[in-house]
Amino acid sequence: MRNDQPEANFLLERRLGRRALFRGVGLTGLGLGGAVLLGCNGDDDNGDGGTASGNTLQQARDRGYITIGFANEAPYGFADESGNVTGEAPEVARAVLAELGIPEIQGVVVPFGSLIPGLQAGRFDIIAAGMFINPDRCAEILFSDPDYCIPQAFGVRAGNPTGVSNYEDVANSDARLGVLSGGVEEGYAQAAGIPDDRITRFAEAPELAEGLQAGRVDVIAATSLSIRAQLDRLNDSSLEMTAGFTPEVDGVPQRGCGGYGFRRDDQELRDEFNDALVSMKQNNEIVPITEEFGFGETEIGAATDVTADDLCEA
Amino acid sequence: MFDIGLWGRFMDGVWITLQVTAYAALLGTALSIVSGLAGLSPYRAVRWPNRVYVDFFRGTSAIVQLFWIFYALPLIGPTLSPMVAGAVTLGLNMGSYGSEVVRGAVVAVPRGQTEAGIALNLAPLDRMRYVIFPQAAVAMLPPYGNLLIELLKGSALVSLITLADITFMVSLLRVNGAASTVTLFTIALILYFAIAQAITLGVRLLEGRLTRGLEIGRAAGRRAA
Repeated sequence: MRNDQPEANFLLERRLGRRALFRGVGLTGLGLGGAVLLGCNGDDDNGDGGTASGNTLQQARDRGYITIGFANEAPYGFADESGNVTGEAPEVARAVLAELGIPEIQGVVVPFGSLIPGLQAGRFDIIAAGMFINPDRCAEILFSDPDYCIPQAFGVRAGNPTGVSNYEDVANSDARLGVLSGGVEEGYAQAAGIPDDRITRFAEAPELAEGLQAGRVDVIAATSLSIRAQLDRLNDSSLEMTAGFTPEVDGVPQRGCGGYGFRRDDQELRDEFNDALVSMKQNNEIVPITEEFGFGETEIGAATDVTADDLCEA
Repeated sequence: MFDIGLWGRFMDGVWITLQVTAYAALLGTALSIVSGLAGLSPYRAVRWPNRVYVDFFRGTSAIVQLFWIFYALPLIGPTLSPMVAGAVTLGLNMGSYGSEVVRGAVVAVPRGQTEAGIALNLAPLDRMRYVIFPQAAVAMLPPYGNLLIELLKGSALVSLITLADITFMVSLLRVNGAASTVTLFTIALILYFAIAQAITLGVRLLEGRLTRGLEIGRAAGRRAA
């Protein structure tokens, strides 16, 4: 029956329907593709808030908010269940920025190793992730003074079967170590002589802890509070943490003190932020903000007399 | 274990995943057609730049492209928002694969169709529009469906450039202990699977529509499916 249909019928009727469909798809594709490309002007609410022009402070005051980058690492900077940014560093930053006349912060989550590249690319204006201040990082970005100092700790299986209590012990055993990619622990581990094939780098803190839980590594290294937060979350009796310790590189103890990071051309923002932070430190206003995240006088007090310059020149 | 708040977060993630996938698919489809036809151009000045585009985007890692556009491009050029950066990168990628799908399908249309078009005195452009392309399109659809599903799954890469898609929500929710790792990743698997099934269904329907009344197309459609 169909074969009897004259060819003309196909050309006049069917073709129109199909043609319209093709044209519709093609035009919609081109139109929306174009709209996406142009959309970069209108889509300014998140992640695009950073600017790399050096007058970030003034712009943030005019807009009423500033964007901070954090790494989703409890208790330093993380998103709560409704997606709002919180944690030690964002909450202290919130208080400091309110002093500077910037009432609001917007958070951008990136993997820890992307914090410095993201800041430099203008994806956000301040790193508020409790990032340790060290000479390598000072070569890349500006830091405020630290607002806390903290020892390292290991997460291990219950009973610490590999018997490790510092990086040298790990080097002398055959234990596999997990660290956060781009974190200071990587450098400590290498300095202690742990071979690279026994170091596994994880992108985020939760993966680090789950790597231990799943048996992918035998030991995980991070700050004592970070290890505690992860183990509390997993609530697994087959895991435990070791006592805190201060790692050494070439016999020199490495103080682990965290502060806030800024782009190199944002000296003004960094200086005003730092002045407000220092006066909050002197007035003992940091502990009340951070104690809900497990920070006490021990961690906050240890940073009282430490400046960014001390740590950058170490 | 699984409350309304968690569900809401996942739905926010689904919405972002759908947006990125849809924008990238539209850009990728348009590029596939333009680039696929450009690959058949008799002019070397058209074919060669097209070759460079296809080989570059097929031949380099999508995640490196994404990081380059997101973290490196702002240092030397414009700053694209996360959504634009994600959709453009994934769309350019899909277009480079789709280009070959389009080119292959057009080449596969029997030579007699072109000759018939010439006999009917159709201009080269009309021949392509009315005779060759509608038949080729039917053969393009099954691999096109593959590309769309690849795109959907590849869209998880945007979780690394701050876009709060399904994958991003999993890593966010893992931190505050809202649900177990097993629960969160299982939900994510189910969500991706459901969206992929919807895409498969959509491509099937489109295939039925384009094949209707097209004898050669029906055969080609049956073979490919």
